[in-house]
Amino acid sequence: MRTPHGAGGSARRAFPGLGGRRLVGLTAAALVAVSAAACSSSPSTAGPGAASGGSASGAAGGSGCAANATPLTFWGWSAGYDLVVKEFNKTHPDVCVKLQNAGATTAEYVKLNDALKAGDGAPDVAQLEYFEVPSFEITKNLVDLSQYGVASSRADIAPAAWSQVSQGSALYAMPVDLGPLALYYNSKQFSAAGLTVPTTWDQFATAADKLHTADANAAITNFDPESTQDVLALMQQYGAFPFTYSGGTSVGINFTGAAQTAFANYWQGLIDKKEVTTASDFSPAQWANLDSGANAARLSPAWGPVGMQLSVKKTIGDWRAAPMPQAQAGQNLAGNWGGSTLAVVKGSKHAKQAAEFAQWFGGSADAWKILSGPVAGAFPGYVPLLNSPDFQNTTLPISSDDKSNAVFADAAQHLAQTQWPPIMTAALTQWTSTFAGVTKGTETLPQAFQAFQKQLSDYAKAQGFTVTAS
Amino acid sequence: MFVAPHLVILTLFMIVPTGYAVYDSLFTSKLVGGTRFSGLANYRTVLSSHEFWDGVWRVLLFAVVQVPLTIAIAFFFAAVFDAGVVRFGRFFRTVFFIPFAVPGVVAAVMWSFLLLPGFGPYSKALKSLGFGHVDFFSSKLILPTIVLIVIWEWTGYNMTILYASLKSIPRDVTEAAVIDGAPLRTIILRMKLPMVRPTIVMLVFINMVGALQLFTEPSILSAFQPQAVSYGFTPTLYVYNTAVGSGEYNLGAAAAVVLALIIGLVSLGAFAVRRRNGEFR
Repeated sequence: MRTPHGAGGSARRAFPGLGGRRLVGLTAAALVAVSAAACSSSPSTAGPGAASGGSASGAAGGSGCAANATPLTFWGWSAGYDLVVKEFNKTHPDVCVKLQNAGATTAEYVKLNDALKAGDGAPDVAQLEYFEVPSFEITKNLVDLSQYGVASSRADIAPAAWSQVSQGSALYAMPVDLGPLALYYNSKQFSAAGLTVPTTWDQFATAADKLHTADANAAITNFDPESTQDVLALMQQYGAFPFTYSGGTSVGINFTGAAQTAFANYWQGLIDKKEVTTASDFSPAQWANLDSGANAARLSPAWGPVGMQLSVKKTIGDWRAAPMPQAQAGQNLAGNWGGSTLAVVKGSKHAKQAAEFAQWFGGSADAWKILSGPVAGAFPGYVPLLNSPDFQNTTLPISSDDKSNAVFADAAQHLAQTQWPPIMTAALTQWTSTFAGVTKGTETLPQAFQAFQKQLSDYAKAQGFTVTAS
Repeated sequence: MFVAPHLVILTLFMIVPTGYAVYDSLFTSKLVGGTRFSGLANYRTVLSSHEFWDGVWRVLLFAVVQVPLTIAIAFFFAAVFDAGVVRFGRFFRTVFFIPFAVPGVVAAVMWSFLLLPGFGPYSKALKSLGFGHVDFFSSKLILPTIVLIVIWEWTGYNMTILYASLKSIPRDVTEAAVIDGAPLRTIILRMKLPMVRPTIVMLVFINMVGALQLFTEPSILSAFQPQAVSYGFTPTLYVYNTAVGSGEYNLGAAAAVVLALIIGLVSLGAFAVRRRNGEFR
């Protein structure tokens, strides 16, 4: 009877990990849960070398590397990473990267933590989501990449991505992909209901009201209170991001400030009037709502449409992307949900080569040719690709000839600044229980924010941090 | 001498890990400030955590419902097969045992799909029968749902043990009753049931301990329906989520020790009952 609740649970929360994106949501959650279960109960079968592999073991063999190539181990889980690694090994004969899947998101972080504690078995390079980087930074387990010249990639990376992995001149990870949000709406339903695309949240609420009054079964969108990353991305976009952290022992947690309360009241108002649904993100219910007209729009991350077009049928071709509604008219702020970085783990015997690999992975046209391809389908944080007409003109069947990528690419350049606290693993674990009552209707979102403020502050204090409420 | 191998294994796999958990539970390790001896502070946190106690009461309630139900159903089928009144008994005994061979994870995933609100075949069937929209994962029904899954998994196992126990009853005892004209029901309930009582007591004990360690089913269900299963839904989930989810390994160790003590108490109770029944003489 040994199955990681954390891994299974967060497979859904941390869904943007590219691993499951192409599968229909629930199947993915199930598969990740099952595979994560397999990984953590028997590391020897699921993650070869997870427990004992080490960076030196047999890395030069296998993938056709030269015998004298420098061996590197790389823990990653996203789809298509194997193809990128193959390309790197082909074009860099003096280095030999060996990709190992140590589980997706939390499953990997747990394993990485354990390996670091044990002092043996950690990889040279590890895939980390943005929010997890500070957690490994505070335990001094990441190599500062600026000493290996990786900072030269700065101009090529979306500024908001860069700021999440750097402290002053130090650089703790190389950004790879992003998930900027856009308003992804059903254009047929919008015009049938006589709605114009809202540009502010006030207009969005008015549109929600109009839609629901005309058809009691229709809600403008879905808001899943239990999906930590979804809610945090929306808060970021609203100018209400609850965390501040700039290294050290002081962390800012603020779920009860003016902006946060306004955000909570706004969504609670829509929930109360049944003008938004509260289905679980990626659940069959959510897809059915999007396809049946029960939801007229999705506040979608850039990687969302690819998976969505496998999960809807009737409305293929009807969906269009527009910039997110703004808290203040005239602003242009975007939020981000998902995306990963590559970090070099302390203790690596070949940190220089590892840094070179990480920089190439997230910041080269060669790597991005594969990363943005059909297998990996990652949304770039790499500016030359974001700006390229080819990329912006790419279309998907779900949106017919709509240039959705152009909207998402613009959002990627206008992400509100975020600083993640080094306690995100705990925040993700504790969030769902606290916010479940909002879905059930037994508590309101402002109440959940207040409860979580106390809960997370208590945890941070117990971990030795000074907590400030801003 | 002869107990040496047993003692070595007991020490390596039982005493050392338990000792390590106790040792670990006396420290507190912080992200800022490192690891320090903190005495019984973790135990105070666990004992005053209502998440933890909610979980303990929940599994006790679970056990009180699930264990008698499982054993009653198992005894019914074991007695039916033992009496030889159905054809293809061997075939059906195997069929009943199959769920036990399905790993808990697979069973939980399978049932999650079957019971999915609105989309699973069971909620569709109930809807067409006029029961309206039944959500098996709502906070009211989640525990009965888990009871259902666990009964499905464990009835065959209990049945097999009871069947073996029934088979070991000497034939002449029941033959005498048959000749005296006792009906089948009386033979089963008045003669056979008392004779397999020690087996039933043992099964109650095994099932009880298993129920207190309930983990796989709720943890899988939580991936499907996170709102239904809180992070302290059962004590083992609380241990797992504090240790792994929040990185509070020491607190998790303390909770595990408290849980072990609770299970120890239950075991002692069962031991006392069996002793009174005249076993272990």
